[in-house]
Amino acid sequence: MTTSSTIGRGTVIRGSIRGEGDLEVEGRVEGVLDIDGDIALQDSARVRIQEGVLSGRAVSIRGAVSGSVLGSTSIVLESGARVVGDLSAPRIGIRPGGLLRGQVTTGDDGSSPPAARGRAAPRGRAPQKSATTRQAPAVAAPQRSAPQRAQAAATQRAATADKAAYAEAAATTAGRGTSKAAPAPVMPSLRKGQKGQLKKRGGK
Amino acid sequence: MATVIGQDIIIEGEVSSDEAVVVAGTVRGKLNVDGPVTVEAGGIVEADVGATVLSVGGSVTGNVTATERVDLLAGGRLVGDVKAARLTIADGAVFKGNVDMDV
Repeated sequence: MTTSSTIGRGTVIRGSIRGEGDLEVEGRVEGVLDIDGDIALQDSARVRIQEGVLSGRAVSIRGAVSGSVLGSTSIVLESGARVVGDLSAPRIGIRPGGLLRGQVTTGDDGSSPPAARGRAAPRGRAPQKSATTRQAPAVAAPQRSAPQRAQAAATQRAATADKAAYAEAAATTAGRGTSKAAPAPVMPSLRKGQKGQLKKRGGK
Repeated sequence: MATVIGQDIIIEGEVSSDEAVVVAGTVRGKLNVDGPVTVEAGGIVEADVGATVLSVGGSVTGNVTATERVDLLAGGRLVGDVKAARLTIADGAVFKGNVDMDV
């Protein structure tokens, strides 16, 4: 029988956490986190993976994670989640307000480590997903944010009519340093090229 | 919410906390807590321990410093030196080490 574990809000662990059973993290973990059980990172959780990947069964994230995440059944980024690293699981969910900078790999091969980058284009809706999530780091990379936002918009068929307006809005909101850097007339051609390129490179 | 290290969890490294810590699993390295530490039956601590109150029902190997007290419960096992204001050892507990109390 396994019991569940909790890393409380006032607790810092530097080193490795391994074993079985469910784990809830409200505090800080720096090092290794490898559990055969569900992992819940609450909004106060700060996890920095320094070796390998954060590995669990069903991984739910509301806090901050630096490092790649591997879920043997699923990963869910809830609102408030901030992840810098790759996600890999059979099922991945990103709720509105969840922020991600990294590669997303869903599907049957989700159990392979995220380190296995650069293979053939992920099938299904993986490219769309990553495109959507790439909105998140827009603030951090203003010079690339407008095309990425535009691409995300392109995936939303309903928004076709006001694409230009959306792109403009994206440029305004995202381009902190480079306000209105991307003039609207240039956007359509840039968007098409960018999209094709992204598809060929498998959502990278 | 306190920190609970479940019975099938192994932590190697440094655990520091300012709230209650319960060890039912294994901790190797260091355990520095500004609060009470409880090592439950089956729990294993191979580390130097700092705590306000340490309660040992499992096994502790390492030097212990407690600002308030150390309670070694029946079935508990403690190997290492103890520095604490107060120490109780229950009948049936195993203890090997020096004791340093403010006399």
